[in-house]
Amino acid sequence: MTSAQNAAPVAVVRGLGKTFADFWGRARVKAVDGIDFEIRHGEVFALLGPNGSGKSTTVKLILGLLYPTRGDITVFGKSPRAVETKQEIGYLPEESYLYPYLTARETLDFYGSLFHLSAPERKSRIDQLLEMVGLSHARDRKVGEFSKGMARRIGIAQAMINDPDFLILDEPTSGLDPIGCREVKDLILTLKKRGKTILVTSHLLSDVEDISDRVVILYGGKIRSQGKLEDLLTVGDQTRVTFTTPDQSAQRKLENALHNGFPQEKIIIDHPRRTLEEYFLDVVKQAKAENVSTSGAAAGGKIADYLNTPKSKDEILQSLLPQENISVPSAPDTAPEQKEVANEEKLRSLTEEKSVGIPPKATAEDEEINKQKLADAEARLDQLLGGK
Amino acid sequence: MQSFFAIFRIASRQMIRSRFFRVLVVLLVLWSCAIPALIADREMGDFLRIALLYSTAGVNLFLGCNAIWLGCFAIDADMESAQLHLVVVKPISRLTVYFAKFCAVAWINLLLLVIAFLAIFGMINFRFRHGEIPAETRERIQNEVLVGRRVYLPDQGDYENASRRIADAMLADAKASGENVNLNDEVYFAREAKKKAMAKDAEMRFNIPKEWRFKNLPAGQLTPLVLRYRVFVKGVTDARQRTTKLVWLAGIPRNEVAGGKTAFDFLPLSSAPEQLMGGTFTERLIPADAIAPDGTLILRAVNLDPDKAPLFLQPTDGPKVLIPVCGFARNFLRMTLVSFLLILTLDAIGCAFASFLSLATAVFCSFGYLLLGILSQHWAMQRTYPDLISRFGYYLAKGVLFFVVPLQNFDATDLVSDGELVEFAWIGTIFLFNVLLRAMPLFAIGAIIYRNRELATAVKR
Repeated sequence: MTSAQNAAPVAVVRGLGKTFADFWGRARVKAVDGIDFEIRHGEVFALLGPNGSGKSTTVKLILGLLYPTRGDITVFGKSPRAVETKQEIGYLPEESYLYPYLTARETLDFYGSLFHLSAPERKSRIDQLLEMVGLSHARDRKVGEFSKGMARRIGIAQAMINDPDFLILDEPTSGLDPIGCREVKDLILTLKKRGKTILVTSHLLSDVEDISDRVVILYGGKIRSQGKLEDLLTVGDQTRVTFTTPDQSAQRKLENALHNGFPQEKIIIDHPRRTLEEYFLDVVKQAKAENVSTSGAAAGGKIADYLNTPKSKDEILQSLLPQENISVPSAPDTAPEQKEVANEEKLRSLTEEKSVGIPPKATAEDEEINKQKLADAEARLDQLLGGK
Repeated sequence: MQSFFAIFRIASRQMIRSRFFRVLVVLLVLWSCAIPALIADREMGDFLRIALLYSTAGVNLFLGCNAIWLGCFAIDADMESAQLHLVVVKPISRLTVYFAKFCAVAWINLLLLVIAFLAIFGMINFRFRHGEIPAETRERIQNEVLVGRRVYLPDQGDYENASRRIADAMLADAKASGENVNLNDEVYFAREAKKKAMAKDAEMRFNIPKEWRFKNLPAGQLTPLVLRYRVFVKGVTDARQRTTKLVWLAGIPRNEVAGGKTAFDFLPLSSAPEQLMGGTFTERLIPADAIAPDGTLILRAVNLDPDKAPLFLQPTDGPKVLIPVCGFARNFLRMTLVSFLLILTLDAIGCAFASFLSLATAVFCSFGYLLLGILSQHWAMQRTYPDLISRFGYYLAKGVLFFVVPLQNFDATDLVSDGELVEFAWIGTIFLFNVLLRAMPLFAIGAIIYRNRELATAVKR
């Protein structure tokens, strides 16, 4: 059991249903139909689903903007409509619902006032947040003049003004450029490290895959699948071996060896590809290095200090504990690109040792079979390569 | 309070930015300054009275519309654009949001009201002080227009008993003549009887003195009182009115008291019969010693029309006795207070409707509500009902007035333009019966709905 699994749930949804009715009270649309899930403390939880699957309705129900037709929701053990519950919630809506005539600074000041923050505290946080989302240069520009991406960034900043324990992000990367997406994902992971709980909805599955611990997939207002990302995505009956190929002849040798060694298996050999995101980030990084100017949002600065600073004794204590005690082993605790590099390193070392990766969470019986298969394969591979 | 003021400020900014508001402000400024600045084409006293009446009534109209619009706009605009979603997910109660917006609307309208009324007050005073006005007219204006005078009305005739007696007599006559009298006939007789009773009370026949008794006047009054009235010649229509004559007599109490009752000597208020134009208001001074020690004043009028035609003095046309109690500025300030109560009421109505309706529908319903109040008040004030349906309408109107605010109740502009005091007691009555007991319950219902409604369903894309 991970710490997240042990922790008390931040939000509990039981038998939740929401039916939209017309003026006469006749049921028209069943947006959410009897769903159950828990969002545990310190996890990144994702709600996925196609358009009209009930994601946004569920989020609005959790926020108390809509009321359930049936079922229960508790957030921090209370009704989502309770004012005190909202003290610890940060919300980024799907669209920019900001006041267009306020400047970026006034916008954050306004939302900060609603959290009863003192004027100096608000000022300090506003400066840090604007720096963090890369809008320091646009602090006195009206939000109505912002591009969609800039409005999204200020939306993220307003959601963070109270240093929330529970952050609800509805399509957080929508409208952001890849740099912004990366920054948002980094921010989410940083907040997760601090023990924050995050609920994300997104159509961009790759974004969700990078950051979330558990997902719920909705369709037609019902849960079609839910669980830990690793459990859901790992293809247990297939194995991938990755290593560097110095030249064509070596590759050919390997191909022949594998075909000869595993005549019954269907073996696919190809070149791994970088993701477009990685490639794009490299291009931009290069452009920056060449000092190419831009009038849009600058890349964000460092994470706001107050978001990095533990708030309570418990949090300080938690930050001092060994990492494995506070992190979820199955979830990434480093930035995705670092994780990817680490994975590549791991795979390389495995291939150097001529071993094959074993999918996690295999049963004892599976493990036994895999071990046997692995031993056989190693022996045959050694024999084949050695023979050449 | 921090979050209250945050909402207050944002709502104020949002309202000031609305185009409707800006257009109304331009109209308000034009209206406030334009009418008092017009070139007077009649006697200065009349001009100032009319300028006061129309400019202040116009300001009330503009600000009333503004209060309704802004009340609806403040509540609905950010609900429909979903900006409110980001507010209510913060730790602030919806009731605070609702009340802060109500206060913001009230504050903005109060600000505009003060500016507009200051402009009118300044313009009226400027015209009075710097105009070429004869000394006599100037004094008259000061005594009749730019003053606050307490109003005393005479004891009203008992129309109900009088009309019942007349109706009974008509019914008896009809039955005696062998007519088959049904319910409709009885309603008809009652209506006619009431008309006759009122006409009889208003009529002044030639050379027959008619008497009015005023009570509760201040016994120690030192300065003269003012008598204000308007007579019609032959009939109560404005058309074909002409000059006529009458004489007023005031009962001067004797020193000795006979049998516990004060005896009066009636002395004419003028040395010769008064010549006046039918259909216009006239004012005349009454000596202060006409008030008896118990506060009673008795006035008599004798019709001396050259053609011996009857004169008519309806209850709404006087006679009234007026006693100056304060200056124009203080009376004007009291009217401003009444206008502010009007704004509060309309603001509350707008907010209440907007709490559960869309912006356009809420504005429409608010005006519908006000129209219902105006018509109900008008209907309930009728003194005759031609048929059963009308009588049903009367009771329906009375019922509606239990919870609907009639706007007529807030009209203090005609009082100020006539130099009549806007009584604090009257203001208190308005506050209690119109603001507290009628508008505020509606506002409270709106608050409950606003607190409990689902917000995310009201999004205009």
